[in-house]
Amino acid sequence: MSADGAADARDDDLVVDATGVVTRFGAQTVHEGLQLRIRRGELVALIGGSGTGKSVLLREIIGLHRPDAGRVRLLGTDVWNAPAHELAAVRRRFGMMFQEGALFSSLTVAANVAAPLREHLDLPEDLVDRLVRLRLSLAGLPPEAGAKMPSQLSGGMRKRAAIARALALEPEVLFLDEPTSGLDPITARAFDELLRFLNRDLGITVLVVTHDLDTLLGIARRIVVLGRGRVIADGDADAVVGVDDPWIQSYFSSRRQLPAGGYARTSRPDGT
Amino acid sequence: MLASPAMVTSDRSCRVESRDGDRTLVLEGVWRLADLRALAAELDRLGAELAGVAALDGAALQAIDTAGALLVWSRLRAGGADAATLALRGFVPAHQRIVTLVRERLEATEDGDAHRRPGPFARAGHAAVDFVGTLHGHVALLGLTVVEIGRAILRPGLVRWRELATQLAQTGVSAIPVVILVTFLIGVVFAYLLGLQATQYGANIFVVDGVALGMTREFSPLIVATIVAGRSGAAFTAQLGTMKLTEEIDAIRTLGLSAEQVLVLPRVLALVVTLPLLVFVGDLAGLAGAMLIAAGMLDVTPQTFIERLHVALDPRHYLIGLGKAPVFALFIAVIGCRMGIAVARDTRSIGINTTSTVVQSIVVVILLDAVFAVLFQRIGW
Repeated sequence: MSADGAADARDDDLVVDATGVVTRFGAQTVHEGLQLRIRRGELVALIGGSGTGKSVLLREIIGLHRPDAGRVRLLGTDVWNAPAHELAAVRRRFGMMFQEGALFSSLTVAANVAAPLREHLDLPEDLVDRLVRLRLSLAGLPPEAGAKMPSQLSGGMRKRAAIARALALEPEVLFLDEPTSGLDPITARAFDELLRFLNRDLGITVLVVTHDLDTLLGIARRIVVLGRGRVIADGDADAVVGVDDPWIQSYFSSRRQLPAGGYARTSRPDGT
Repeated sequence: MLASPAMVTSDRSCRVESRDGDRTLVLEGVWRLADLRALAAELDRLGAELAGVAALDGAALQAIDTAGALLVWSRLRAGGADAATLALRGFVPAHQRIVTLVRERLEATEDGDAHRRPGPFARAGHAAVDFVGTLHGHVALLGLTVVEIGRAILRPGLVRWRELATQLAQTGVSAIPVVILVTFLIGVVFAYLLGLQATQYGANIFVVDGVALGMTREFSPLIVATIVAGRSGAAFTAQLGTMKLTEEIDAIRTLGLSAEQVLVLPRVLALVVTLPLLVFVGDLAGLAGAMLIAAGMLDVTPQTFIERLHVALDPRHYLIGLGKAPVFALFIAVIGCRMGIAVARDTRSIGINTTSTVVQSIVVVILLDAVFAVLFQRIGW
């Protein structure tokens, strides 16, 4: 680590730093030298057609899928070359929300949220209970949801419970895989608000894989578009819409018929 | 995490001072989740001093997260301070946001004793209701299956022949090796044990009587049914349970088809056909095992063994054995299918129901076997 002391100072601000990522599944190449950097405090949306490797990239960043080539640094740690104890330390510093929630179905919601706390910290029970209720409240769940089993929750509440669990250890970064898929628009917008709140008020860096145009245009200050194995557009909504790429154009064209005034402004009433 | 006292005070500390006329709790250093236990000890050290605190000073804070803030607020509240009207002083904006946010949510973290563990009576009651519900479901599916069998007899076109063939192969043909192995070994052990006794009286030849009757009438049906319950019964539950989770069963019903006809009937028919055949295979393998021991240990040549078999083994014994098999099969298949359809919305219940299928099937098979034993004894078979 002493060899790249200069890099360390820079890394402090870089939450995700992926360079030259190559991913293949059999003959099919998903990423061809992809590069992605995310700084502390950003709220980034990752989009792309199906098969462009959005979820795979997420899994490569958090250490679940090994890329065929390239380097991935998460919170300053080289995910795929770090010794096990360093990786374990990094794992406590981010939260991940899987697409279907991936709640432990044998545990109540409260026990799900408490699981990481019990696993990694030695805290008195009453404090754990309080922390769990705070996480549920931050994720927008009523306190009585804690006593329920995951199978008793609706889709939206299950995703909120998954966020509550991801928040358990005070993560610096939160990764979300299609948080609003399968939700009705009203619930989905409330979810966007939740992400915006976590990002702005708790200072959590957020990377969200999404297909939801409203999420993109409403809360993401930076949109990264994957295509043809690399990042084909990167910037705020207006910049990305301006990129001359057939996929991007057809993706955003469904919003062309909107009333005058444009989506970007109308979806961001508070001007952030 | 066991830091020396000096380090504790240098990393983080808190004290109550009088500032601007208010009793002020001053926070210093890092207040994070990782050190929460030590932080709680710090606050508890202040004890009664927390009462009447009217302001919170965070000018010397280096970091605070929601867990740290929650600890401060909950201890202040427990100590008698009024969290809602407490003044915040000197916080940097990022810290102020977190501290204010947690204060707003403090009410939600209070224990509303939302969940209470049910008492033993309530649990016994729930268990009884569940048991009756399960039984009711089994009887209902058994009835539906019998109706479907009746309809299939009247209109053979309703039978899914392709599915039936697949199930015959899976439940029957591929089970043959394990059935042969297990019953062969049981035959070996059985003949060996009988032989130990019989040689003492020079009654070696009667081992054939004992093995033939025991194997074909009781052991082979029972053991093969147990194997099939563990193999095919569990497989039925897992298959139908997964189909229930992926809403395939709902899709079948929505298309105007009967799930009982499409899914349950082929499985039940397949098992009812294959189990007697497997029992027959088991009979042969068991006798072969016994024959091996008879030749090696009891001086009964295979030829003598078979001759004795003709005399000793009345056909009704193995016919009773074979006749019990379809009844066992019906119950195993209905329990397996029913527990699969009864899978709830979560993946965990597939595992629970599969285990339950095996336990229920084996219990039912042994129960039925006992009933048969009493019945046949009464009518003098």
